[in-house]
Amino acid sequence: MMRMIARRLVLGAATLACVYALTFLMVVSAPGNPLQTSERNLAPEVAAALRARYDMDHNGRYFVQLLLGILRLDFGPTFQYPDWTCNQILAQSLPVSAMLGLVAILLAVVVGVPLGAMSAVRGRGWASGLGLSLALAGVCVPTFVTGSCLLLVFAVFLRVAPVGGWGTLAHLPLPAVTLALPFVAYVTRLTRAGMTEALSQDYIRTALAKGLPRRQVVWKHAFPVAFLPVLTYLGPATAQAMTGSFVVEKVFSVPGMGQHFVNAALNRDPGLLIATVLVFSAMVIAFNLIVDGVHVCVDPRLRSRAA
Amino acid sequence: MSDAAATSPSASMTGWGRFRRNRQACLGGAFLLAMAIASGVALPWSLAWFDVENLATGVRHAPSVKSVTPEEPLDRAVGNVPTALKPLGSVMRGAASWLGHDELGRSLVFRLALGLIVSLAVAAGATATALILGTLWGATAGLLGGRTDLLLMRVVDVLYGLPYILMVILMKVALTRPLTAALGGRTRYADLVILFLAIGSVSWLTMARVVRGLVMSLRHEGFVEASRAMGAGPVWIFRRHMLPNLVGPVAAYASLVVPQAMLQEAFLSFLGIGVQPPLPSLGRLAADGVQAINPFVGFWWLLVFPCGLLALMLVALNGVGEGLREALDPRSTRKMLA
Repeated sequence: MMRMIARRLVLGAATLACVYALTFLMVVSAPGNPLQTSERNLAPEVAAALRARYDMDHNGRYFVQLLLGILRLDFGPTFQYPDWTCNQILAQSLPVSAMLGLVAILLAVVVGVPLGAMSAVRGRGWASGLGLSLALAGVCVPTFVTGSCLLLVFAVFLRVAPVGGWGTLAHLPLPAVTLALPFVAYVTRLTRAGMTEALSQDYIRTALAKGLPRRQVVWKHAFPVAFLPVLTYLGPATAQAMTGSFVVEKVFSVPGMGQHFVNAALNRDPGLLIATVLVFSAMVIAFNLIVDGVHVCVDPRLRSRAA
Repeated sequence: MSDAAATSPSASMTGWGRFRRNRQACLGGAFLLAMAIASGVALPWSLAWFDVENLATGVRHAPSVKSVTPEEPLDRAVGNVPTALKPLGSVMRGAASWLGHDELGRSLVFRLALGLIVSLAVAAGATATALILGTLWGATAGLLGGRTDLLLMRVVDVLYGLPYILMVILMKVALTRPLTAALGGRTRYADLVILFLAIGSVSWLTMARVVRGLVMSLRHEGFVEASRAMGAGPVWIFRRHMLPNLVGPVAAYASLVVPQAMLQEAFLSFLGIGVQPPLPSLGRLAADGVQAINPFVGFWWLLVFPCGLLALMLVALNGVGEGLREALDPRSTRKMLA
C-alpha cells in the first residue's frame, strides 16, 4: 500500500513536470503577450524594463527561473494585475471555488446516485423518467443558459436569492445548482448503467433465489459494485468542479478561479496561467489518488491484492 | 477472409434492425434529418438575409423599429419592446417574422436556419478532426505496441491532465494567423475552420484510447495471427483486417462526439471566441439571447427559440448516438469508457 502511494506520487510529480513544460511551451510560442495589450499602453522603455525584469527575452532562463520559484511554491508575478502576485490571487480565489465545487459535487452525489439507482431498479416509472430527463437536460442545455434562467426566476422575479456576489450563505444555492447540473446528469447515467449491469449478474439471481429480501439484495449486493464507476468518475470531476467554472462565475459574479484561468489564457499571461493549470493538474492527481485509495477500501478484490 | 466478408453485411443488417427498434434513436434521427433538410433548403435565403438590419428596403408596411435606435431616450427604449420585433410582428412580411427579430431587426428565422448549419458544420468538422487524429494515434499505439505504445499513451495521459479550455484557446490563437493567410484572407471561413480544428484537437484523446483498446484486442484474434503468420505487415493487417472491424464502434463513438462538440462551440461563443459576428451559430444565438433578456427588456424569444432548438438538436444527436452505439457496439467501448 505504502509502495503504491509512493509510486503514484513520483508518477504524479513527473506528470506535473510535463504539464509545466507543455503549458510553458504553448503559452510562450503562442503569438501575443500581456505587454502588448491595448489596455496597458506601456511606454517602450517600461515594456523593455519589464521584459528584462522577467527575462522574457530569454525563454530558457525564464523557464528555469519560474520553475525554481514554483518549487518553493512561489508562482511569481502576474502581468494582468500589476499589484498582485499569483499566490495572492490563488489564495483569494481558490477557497471560493473549492467551496462552491465541493457543494456542487455533494449535490451531484446526493441527487444523482439515488435517482440513477432507483431508475435502474424500478424500471419504467416516475423515478426513471425524472432521472432520464435530468440526465438529458444536464447534457443538452449549456450551463450559461441554465444559470441565467435560474438567476432570472429566483433572483429577479421571485426575489428569494441575491442577484450575484459572494460572502453569505444565501449566495451559495444558485451557482451551486448551476454548477452541479452537468455532474448530476453524468452521475445519474453512470449509476443507472452500473446498477442495470450489476442487477443482471448471476450472483444477484443467486441471492434472490436463496430468499434474501429484494431490498437487501439491491442495496447490499448490487449497489457497491454499481457505485465503483461513479467513484472513478468523481476523482477528476471533483478536481474540475473545485477549480472553478468560468460560466458560473461570470453569470453569478462569484470571485472564483475559473475566470483567472480563462483570462490568463486569453491574455497569454504565463505566470498566472501556469499557476492555475498546475493547481488544476495537482488537484486531478490528488483526487485520483484519493479515489483509488477509497477503491481499495471498498472493493474486496483490490484489498486482497494490495495487502 | 471471405468468411468475414460474408458475415459483415448481415452483422450490419442486425445493427440496422436494432437501431430501427430504438424509438428514441429513430425520432432523433427523423428530427435531425428534418431540421437539416429545412435549413439546407432555406440556405440561399438565410445567407442573403441573416445580416440585413432593419429590413427597411424589403418592407412595404412602415417598420416601427424606430424605438430601438440609439437616438431614442433609453428609458423609453427599454420599457416597451417594439411589437414589430416580436414573433409574428410585422418588420418583414411572411416567414421571416415568424420567430421575431433581434435588436437590430434581423430575422430570427433566417439567423436560426443559418446558425443551425454553421453549428452542424463546426461539430461535424470537429468530429472528423478528432476521428482522424484519434484513429491514427490509437491505431499506431495499438499496432506497434511496446515502447511506442507506452510513449504515445503517456502523451495522451498528460494531455488529459491539461484543461481543455487552455488547449482550445491557445490552439485558436496559434492557428489564426497561418490559416487566415492560407485561405487568402477570407477571415469568415478561416474562422470556422480554426474553430473546428481547435475543438477537434481536444476531442481526439478518448477516441485514441477507444481505438487503441479495440486494436489491442483484435491483435490476438485468430484471423490476424494467421495473416501475420503468412508474412503480412502491420499496414496490410490494419487495412485488411482491423479497419472493417473498427468501423462500427468508432462510428458509434464518433456520433457521440458531435453533440459534445456542439456544446463546446456554444461555450466558446459565450466566451466570445467562438463564431465571430455577424455569422450566427446556435451557441452564439443562445449566448446573445442570454444578454438580451433582463429585468428591463424582455426579448424572450431571443432566448427561448435558440436555446430550445439547441437543446432539441443535442437531445436528438445524443439519442442517435446512443442508438448507434447500442446497435453497432453492444459491449466493447462502453467498458473502455467507464
